[in-house]
Amino acid sequence: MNKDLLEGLKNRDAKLLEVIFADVNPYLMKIISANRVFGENAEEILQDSWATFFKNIDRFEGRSQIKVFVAGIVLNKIREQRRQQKKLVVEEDPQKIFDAAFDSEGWWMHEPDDPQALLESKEFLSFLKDCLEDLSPTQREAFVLREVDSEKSEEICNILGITVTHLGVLLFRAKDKLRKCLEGRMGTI
Amino acid sequence: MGKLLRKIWHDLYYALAGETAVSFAMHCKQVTEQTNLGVRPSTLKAQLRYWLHLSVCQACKNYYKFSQLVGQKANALFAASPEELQRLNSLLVEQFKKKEG
Repeated sequence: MNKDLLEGLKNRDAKLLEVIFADVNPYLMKIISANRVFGENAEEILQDSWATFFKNIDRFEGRSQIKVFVAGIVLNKIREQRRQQKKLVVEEDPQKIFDAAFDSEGWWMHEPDDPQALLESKEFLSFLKDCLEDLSPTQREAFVLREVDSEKSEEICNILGITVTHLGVLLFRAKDKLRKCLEGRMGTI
Repeated sequence: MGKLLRKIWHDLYYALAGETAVSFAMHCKQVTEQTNLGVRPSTLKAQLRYWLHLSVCQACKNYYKFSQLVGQKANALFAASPEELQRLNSLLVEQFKKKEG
């Protein structure tokens, strides 16, 4: 990031803020709504996250992209809110599940079917929304960052504080759950 | 039956590619990892290994298609409306811009 941009941010230049918010907020709002935070709560998290960003702007130093830096803050705010709601989520070991999907030589144990049939359902989007609700918070965060916004794996690992291997298995588990859930829903039509 | 045919097809592809093919060819597990992480292979050889496997393995192709499908659909699902974003952005600019005077 160039120094002028960083200076502009520190000086809270209104024109620059407009550009930055227009660029970054669509991405942040996707992360927030994908984490089942909507309406006023979503707005509050967005405002709080930017407030935290400006409060800690001296620590930012432009080493990572603004959107990655603020996305990390957003996820921390969401986790904080979840902790306050005292929602205990017990997560299974995703590595075991990933390994169990393949035989010792690395071939699929149960081969995935062609997803074309899923596309044909008019209710696909509504099913997908429901099925995303069944993912654990960490799986959902990883899925949204990777699949919804095609963020680079290294950036996602920075945001979530996990290794690339862990990210890979989290994504596998998230998609595995989504596929099973979607197929189950289609089967009930 | 499908799995057996696929295995034969993979083996044939390894055999045709020669002695070095075993290290060249990828297994479904490796391809799935790469599909999930979305890592663009850095070398032409690595790209060829990945795409060659996808072209001969229907199961991995299905997995790849599913990944693309849910990603695109979820992207559309969670996008905030332009009007809502405009409103939020204006609100935030007012909140964070340097106050004059």
